[in-house]
Amino acid sequence: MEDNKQEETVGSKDVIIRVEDIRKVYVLGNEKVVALDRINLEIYRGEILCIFGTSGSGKSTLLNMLAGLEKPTQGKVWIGKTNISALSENQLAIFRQRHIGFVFQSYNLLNIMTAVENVALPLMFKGIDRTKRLKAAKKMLMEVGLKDRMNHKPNQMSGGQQQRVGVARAFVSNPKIVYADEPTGNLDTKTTKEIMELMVRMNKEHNQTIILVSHDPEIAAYADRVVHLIDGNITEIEVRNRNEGKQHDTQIQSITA
Amino acid sequence: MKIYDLVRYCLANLWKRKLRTLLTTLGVAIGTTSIVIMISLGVGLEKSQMESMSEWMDLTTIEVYNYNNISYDQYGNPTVEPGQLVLDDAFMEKLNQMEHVVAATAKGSMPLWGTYPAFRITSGRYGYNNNVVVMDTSMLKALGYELSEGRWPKEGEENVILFGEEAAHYFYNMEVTDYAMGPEYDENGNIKDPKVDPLSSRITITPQYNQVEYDNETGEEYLKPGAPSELRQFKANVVGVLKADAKNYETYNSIFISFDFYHTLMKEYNKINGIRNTGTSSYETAFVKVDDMNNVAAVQEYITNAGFDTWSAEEYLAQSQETMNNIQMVLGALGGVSMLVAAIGIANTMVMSIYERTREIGVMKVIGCKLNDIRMMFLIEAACIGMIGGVIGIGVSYGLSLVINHFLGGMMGYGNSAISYIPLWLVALGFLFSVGVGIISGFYPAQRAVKISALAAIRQE
Repeated sequence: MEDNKQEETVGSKDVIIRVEDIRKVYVLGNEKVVALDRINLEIYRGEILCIFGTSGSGKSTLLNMLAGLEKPTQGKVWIGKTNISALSENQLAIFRQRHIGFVFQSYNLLNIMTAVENVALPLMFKGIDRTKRLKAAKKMLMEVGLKDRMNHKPNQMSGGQQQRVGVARAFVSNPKIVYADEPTGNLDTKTTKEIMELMVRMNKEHNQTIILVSHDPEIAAYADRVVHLIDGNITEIEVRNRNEGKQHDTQIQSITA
Repeated sequence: MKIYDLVRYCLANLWKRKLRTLLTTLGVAIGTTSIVIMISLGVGLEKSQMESMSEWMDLTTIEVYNYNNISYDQYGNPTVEPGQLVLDDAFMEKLNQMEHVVAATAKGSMPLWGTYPAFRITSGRYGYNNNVVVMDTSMLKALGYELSEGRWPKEGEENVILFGEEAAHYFYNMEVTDYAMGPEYDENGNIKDPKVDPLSSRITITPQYNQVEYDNETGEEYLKPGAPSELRQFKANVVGVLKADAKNYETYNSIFISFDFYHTLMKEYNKINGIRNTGTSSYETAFVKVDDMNNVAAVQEYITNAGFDTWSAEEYLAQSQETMNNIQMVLGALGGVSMLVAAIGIANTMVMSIYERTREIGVMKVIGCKLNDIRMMFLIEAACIGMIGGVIGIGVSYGLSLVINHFLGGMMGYGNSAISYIPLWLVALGFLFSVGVGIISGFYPAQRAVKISALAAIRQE
């Protein structure tokens, strides 16, 4: 019932990810910890979605489920027509190679490689020629404004520059979905703004779906929709009109539990 | 991922940890060196033994005997009972047709000794009674003989004989003595000229009447009446003098007579002695030259299966080959111990490297690196360590081998042959072994890398 209501609100948008009744239970010694409890969620093509919550709310666990890095104890995650909870680790690797990009909190660039080589990494895993992929990586680095840092190693760059490389790497293979787990967690306010604006721009230009995880309202402000998580439950889904990060027209939806 | 990218990535990682790579590689280099050097000593030993063996025996010839099936008549001529195995022209022809057989000839001798010999070889007042080899002289060249003077016999040539290099020195003055001891020396120690010159002296062979009878009372031997009034002399056509060869004493002191000439002489002998040809004849021995040492065994087996006794250097060779193989294996195993240590070193380095790179591996998995590519990364890295170590090890081995041969070779009086010899197959073996050891040592670490959880890896902050 509530689902129908939600669809009505957003109109004719495509669903790219459908989460069906996901549950994740961790067993720690004798204790069972319910990290996610019966989550249902639909994510639309081209939107920026923020999974918002305090630490321990289960927001990172949910992201891991959506990206196929962790398997749910129960329930299914559909990306397009694929149930990724049923894929083997190898199939998942190929699936991520084709459809998914990642931005990490701690950048996670490879230190032995230059910025261009780092950006080209997903293309290398795809088996694309060196000259071809380096060309694509250079173009990407220009887009993120690192024209003069192409051949620098990660340890020769600032945090903000490294994260730009990280963003370029996530978008280089033109994935359908880009996941970002606290992408600005290690950055100062000014750089945070730059990175977030960069990601929003990428989202607009390439019409990609971005899924953010954050505990920071400033970050959540860049999203089209914000999913609030508390103790493994979705408490509300906020729909916003994205307008330079300013909060407008907040529409609170009913809880799906 | 493309193999080129995998290798590039591995080399970059190895380069980044230069010191560790160098130390691990050094272990492999030492392992490879010890194996290669140890085996090279065994190979050197084998080689010098082969060389000394081939100096005193021909390793590619087989001698065939048929003594067991032959009996001798009262005149010492070989006869064959019906049904006995014969070493005849047909069998020789078969041998000559065989694969790997370069040439085969029957061999016989000519009775020249005693008071009443069957034949006499003379040149004026000089006589020769040392040793005559009856064989297919047209095959001398193919059998590996060399000429020192004259030429090889031509086809269809009659009464052909050739001299061994020193055979002329065995002619003696029949008026003074009845044998010759070989080359004589003057007071200065120089060899005196022989009594005859093989290529210009007139040399004849005369079949003799030698039907003897014993006087039972005195035990004396005397010729029966019936000798022809005149003995027919056959002029020998000496075409050449063979070069002496240490592997075959006959090339020193013997005279070689062609079968054709021998048959002519035999016919005359039978005629004057009133012997009727029995029809069945067999050669006592034969001589088979094989194209390669390694084919001797097969040809020899064929002849043995036909029922003849054979001899070749093969038996000695097989035995010494086996000993040598054992020695090489023991030496190789000794060297292998240090390779084992090197393998453990590679595995250790790789495990450490994976531990340090847990996060990196996790990130690669998250951004779409296939498990098989992760496995390949570490296998290739281990193989590279093995390969670089192997190449260095082989280089060092060559240097060490030179040093050993230079300093120890002279000391131990080995002469020209090397103590340590590194054949190409040993280089290939050393290389493949080191790469193989690298890959095997990399299996476990690579599997560990594959098992690293992508999630756990990126979580660790």
